[in-house]
Amino acid sequence: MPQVRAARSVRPGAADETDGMIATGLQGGRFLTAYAPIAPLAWLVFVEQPLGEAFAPLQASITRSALLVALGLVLSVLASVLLARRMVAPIRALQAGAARIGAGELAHRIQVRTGDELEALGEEFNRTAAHLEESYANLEEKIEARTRELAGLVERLRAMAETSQTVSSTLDLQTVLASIVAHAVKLVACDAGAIYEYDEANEQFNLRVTYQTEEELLAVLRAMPLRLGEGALGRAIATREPVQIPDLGAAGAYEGRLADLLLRSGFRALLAVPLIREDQIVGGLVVRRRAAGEFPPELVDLLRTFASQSTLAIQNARLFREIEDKSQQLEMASRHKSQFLANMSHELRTPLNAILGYTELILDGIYGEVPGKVREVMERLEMSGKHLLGLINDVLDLSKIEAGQLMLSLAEYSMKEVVHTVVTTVESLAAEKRLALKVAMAQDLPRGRGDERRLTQVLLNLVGNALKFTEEGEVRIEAGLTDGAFVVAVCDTGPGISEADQRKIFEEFQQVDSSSTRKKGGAGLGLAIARRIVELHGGRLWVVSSPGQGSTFTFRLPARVEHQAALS
Amino acid sequence: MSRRILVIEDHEDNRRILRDLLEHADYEMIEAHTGEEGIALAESERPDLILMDIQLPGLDGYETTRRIKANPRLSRIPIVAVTSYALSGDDRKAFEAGCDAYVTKPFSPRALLAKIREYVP
Repeated sequence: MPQVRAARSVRPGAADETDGMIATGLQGGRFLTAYAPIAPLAWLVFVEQPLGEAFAPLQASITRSALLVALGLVLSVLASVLLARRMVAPIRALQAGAARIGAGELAHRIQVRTGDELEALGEEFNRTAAHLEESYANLEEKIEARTRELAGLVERLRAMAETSQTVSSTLDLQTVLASIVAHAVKLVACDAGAIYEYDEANEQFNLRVTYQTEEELLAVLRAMPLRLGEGALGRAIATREPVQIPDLGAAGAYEGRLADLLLRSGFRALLAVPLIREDQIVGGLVVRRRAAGEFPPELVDLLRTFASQSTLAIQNARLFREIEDKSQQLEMASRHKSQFLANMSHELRTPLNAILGYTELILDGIYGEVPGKVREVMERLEMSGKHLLGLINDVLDLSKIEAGQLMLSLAEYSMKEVVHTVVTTVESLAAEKRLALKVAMAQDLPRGRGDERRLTQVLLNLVGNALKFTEEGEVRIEAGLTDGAFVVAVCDTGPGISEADQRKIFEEFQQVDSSSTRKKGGAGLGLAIARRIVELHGGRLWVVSSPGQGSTFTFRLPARVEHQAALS
Repeated sequence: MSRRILVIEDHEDNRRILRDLLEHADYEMIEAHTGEEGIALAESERPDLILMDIQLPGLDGYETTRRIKANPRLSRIPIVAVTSYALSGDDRKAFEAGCDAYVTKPFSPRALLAKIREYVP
């Protein structure tokens, strides 16, 4: 038997302990067997117990445990199912609901009826969604309102811009006011409007423009201008503030002459804004509405803006009219002045002609021998007469130049001859003052084209001045051609002119020192005229001088002048 | 036979001065006060020279000159215009009208006499 073999194979005396083992018994069947050696007898005593009997208590315990585990499992599954039903469904609902709300479906509400924290959480979601929904709704409303406001503002601004553009771009008052009243009526949501202009002389308001006003009403409005202090506009003018009548039909609201007519025409409310500038009544802007009701302050303010635009337009138009009148008057005055000067100079010259003519005849002895003393007086008479003639001519020349009426007689001339004419004229004066009169002229000067008489006048003026103001030394005339232009200079050894005075001498009625006017004669027009004559030839005239160094007056002009230049 | 000069001039003092001047210089002077009168006298008297004031009442000096110069029997008579300084371009207009020379008013009798002697010695 295996158990016996096993026992015998064990070294004798090696151990006292024995292990049990499962083996087949003598009668067959499975047994739990164990042995113990009994040394003195050298026996091996075996004990066997059938397996079933031996393991019975263990088996019972295992069975019990298995049952218990199975029961636990069943219970836990049941619990899970129960919990799942109680928890996962509401969480899913929460998640789905949150997702829908998150996607923007703010009206969605989460339905969780668990009576616990989940339901509370769901309610929290719902409240948040409701809040969001409300905020969104508010926001949209606000945006919508703001957009409306902005659109209104844009429209107002556009209307304002258009009006101010009209105000500044056209001087036609009717056009400007018509544009203003049309925009005003539209923007303040009225049905009709008008602008009145104040007529100061008659103390009444005349209808200037209307917008959307029926013929019948228009005829009446035109026929009866508003008197100062009458109606809503009258009150507005008196108080300097807009006046509104929210309901024309209300008893005692409006007692103007137009009350009935306005009501008949279907108007129920009106707003009048005064047009006042610097405390001056300019007129009034009136808008009318078919619906009764207050005009909100912002519309009243808006209308004020239109009123000030109208005021500006009326004011501008008046100013323009005034300026136009004034400039016409000025033009006429200027024409009269020129005509007067031309006439006067002619009238002055006719008697002067006689004086100078007779004087010359007397001096020439045509009326008989002239005693020495009389001759002397006659000579002085002739000199004064010629001086007077020169003054008259200067004034006339200058006024013609100023009026742009001095026309050059452009023709062929010789600069050489001009110089000779001037020298011949002033020779005696130079000799009288013991001044050397020198001429340095290029021999090959070509013929020129210009106004010979005027150029002679210019050179005569320059040389005459030089001789007049120089007490000793010389006066030299130089003439030459440079780059197709005549350059003529008059140099003297006179007192010279300071820089400040050099600017003045070319102005009308200016001499360096007013006492010299008396001493030297002349009204101081000569240089101003000379410079302009040279400029009319397209040239220029200037002076180089310093006190004590003498003066050099030079003019340079194109040798050939085909067209008279315009004066700046 | 002394030379005859027709003076067309509306202003009395000017006529007197011219008369004194011309007679002293041995010219014979005939006088007209207006352009029309001047044209008639030019036709009837055939002067050797005409002194023409430009500013005349009625027919002005330019037009009077044009009419005289347009008449072939009179066109050779030299005409010296007396232009006014007051009006610009008179000299040019005078030449255009057919004047042979001009002096500017107020004129110097001496200078005028010199100008006349150029044409009628």
